[in-house]
Amino acid sequence: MKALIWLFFLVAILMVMRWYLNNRNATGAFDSTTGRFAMRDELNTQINQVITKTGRSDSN
Amino acid sequence: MIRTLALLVITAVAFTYCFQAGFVSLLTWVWLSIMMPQSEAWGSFLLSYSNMAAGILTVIAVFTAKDRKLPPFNNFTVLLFLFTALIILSQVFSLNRALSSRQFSIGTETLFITFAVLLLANSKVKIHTMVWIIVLSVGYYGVTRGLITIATGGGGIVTGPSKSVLSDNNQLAVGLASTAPLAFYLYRISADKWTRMFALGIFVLSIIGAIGTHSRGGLISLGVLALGLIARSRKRVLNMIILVIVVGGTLLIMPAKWFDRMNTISTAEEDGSFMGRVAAWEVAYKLALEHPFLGIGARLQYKAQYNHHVQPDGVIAREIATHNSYFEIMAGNGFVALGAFLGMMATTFIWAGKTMKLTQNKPGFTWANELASMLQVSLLVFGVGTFALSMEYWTGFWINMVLIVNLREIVLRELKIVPVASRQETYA
Repeated sequence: MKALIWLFFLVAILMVMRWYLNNRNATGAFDSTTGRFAMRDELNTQINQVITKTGRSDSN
Repeated sequence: MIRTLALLVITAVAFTYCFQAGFVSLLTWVWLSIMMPQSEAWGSFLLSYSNMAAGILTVIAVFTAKDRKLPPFNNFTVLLFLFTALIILSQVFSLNRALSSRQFSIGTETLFITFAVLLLANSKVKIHTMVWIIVLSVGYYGVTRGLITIATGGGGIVTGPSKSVLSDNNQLAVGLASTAPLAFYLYRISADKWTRMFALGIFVLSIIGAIGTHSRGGLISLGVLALGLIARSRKRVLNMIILVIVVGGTLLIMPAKWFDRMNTISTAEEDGSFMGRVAAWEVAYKLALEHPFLGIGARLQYKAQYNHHVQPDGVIAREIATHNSYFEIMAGNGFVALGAFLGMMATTFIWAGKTMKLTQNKPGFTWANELASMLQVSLLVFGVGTFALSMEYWTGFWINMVLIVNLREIVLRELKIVPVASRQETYA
């Protein structure tokens, strides 16, 4: 059990690093309307698409 | 063996990320320094050097990353440079350089991480990522120790990873209590439901884990955490309900010996352990008076050969652990270093409060408002908790301070509050 939790946390840390690499130059990670951060890639992709369609862009 | 292989693979993947962005090197270094995953794996020659490799890559990133920014010239950075200079001078003029070198190397590593965070964690995505890495690194111990506490009914005293700043049960309690506010921030600010639940789970189990340490200092830290969360939150009633359920539920399963131990807080003057600490603080103070400018060298005040002449009469000279971060710096590095240390704490505490005011009810700044408030609570919890513990180089605390500094810079920049003669004046 403890080993599984340990592995889960290690994978979660890798996911956070991956999330950073995917979002470091995009506003998709951050929804300025709600002021919240989206951690799931699908949600990020959706927000990025909306941003692309509306022509908005800025950097972090 | 499987754990070692898994860790090797995960560390290797993390290192491949490091080559994509210099900031990931810093994330990897912070992760390996705080969580020390290698402490739960065995027999790998490579793993023992992974921390050093992450450090070297971070040094390269600090000098080569395109997105690094020079630290702003302000009260905090001046105090940080002053403190670092005093730590180095203190080691140079230490009464015994060989004995004080171990603590000196721990301190310099932490200070280098601090400088690296100051230079590299300069955007909201980077700050958010850094908070996640800290919460996950400490949260692992919160979750596992919290579950152990529940499973054993609080019968065993839980401790942290060996050979780390959190190895002791008291240190783990303060580490968990001071990281819990950041987990609470992630719960409040994450958009995804499962992410929010995960962060809340880390928060709750960290509190249970801190109770399971049987640490009296940990209990006081949790009290400060509870007060801070209630005072600094928008949904005070909800927070109070969450805390009452978590703490009340945990206390129901704790054994009688836990309550007996906690009851000794009110009779500290009769407690040998506490009075021993008071005696150690007195020894540290007397040694600091003898060497007020640079101290006697880190942790040398523990050694009988350096403290016997200031120990109480009639007591056999012995080794004395200081058990207090402030007295550690006072005796080991001098009064000026202590002043710089306290100055940095006070500055960041005030800046967190001012950042909260600047971002209150501002659309798009909810994250900054929530983060500033939780970083402030974390700082307060650590400041109180470390009064009975030697945790002056706890990486999580130093990163928290720098995150407040960088957060303030981002808020000032995005709100277009441009520094004129002095940034502090813009608050007035």
